[in-house]
Amino acid sequence: MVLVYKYKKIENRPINEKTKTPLIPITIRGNISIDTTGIPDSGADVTAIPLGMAEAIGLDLSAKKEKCVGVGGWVDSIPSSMYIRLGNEHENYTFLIPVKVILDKYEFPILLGRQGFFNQFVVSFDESEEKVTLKKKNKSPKLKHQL
Amino acid sequence: MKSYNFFMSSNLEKYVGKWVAIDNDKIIAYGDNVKKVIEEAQQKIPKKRIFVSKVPEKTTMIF
Repeated sequence: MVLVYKYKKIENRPINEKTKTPLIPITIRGNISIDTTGIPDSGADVTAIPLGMAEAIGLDLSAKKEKCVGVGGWVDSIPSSMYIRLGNEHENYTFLIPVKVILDKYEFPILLGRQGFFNQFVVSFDESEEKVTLKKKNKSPKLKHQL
Repeated sequence: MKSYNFFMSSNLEKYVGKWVAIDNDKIIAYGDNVKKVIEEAQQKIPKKRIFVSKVPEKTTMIF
């Protein structure tokens, strides 16, 4: 079974183009659950979440700060973990994944990184068709947990 | 998935770069601060799970 998601398109009138972003519907849980979207980011070692969202769902923020590096340079982060669920009416998957809570003013969409996410699926991008496909890997563990 | 489908199919140009919370095919809260948007949405629909997402920026994203 595969999960297929279309890109989100936003009109960009000044240059007559559209901004297109692959956004996957996910449910995330700390102390509470929310539905949101994540951008699959093959360049990210681990999933990143902005501080405000981490606080809103009650992630554990007690760990020692660490430095992370991205295209914008070094930034402070707190390592944590959260449950993530995705799927549809026919199949859905829940995983406990490591996350970096990014301590920066810019509140970016959740970036779904390789550790804990990409190793669960074969992830394919089709830019011309504007869709991203996730095919579950059979050998990765499936965790049952109510979100 | 209903709120996600609404988010994906709707013209949200006026909310570019904002966080939006959606319920019953309506935007019930929006703003620049995701925590405040979630809290405002929770006050409006306290017994339901919130859908919140950031409307992509028009500028080029490089993560």
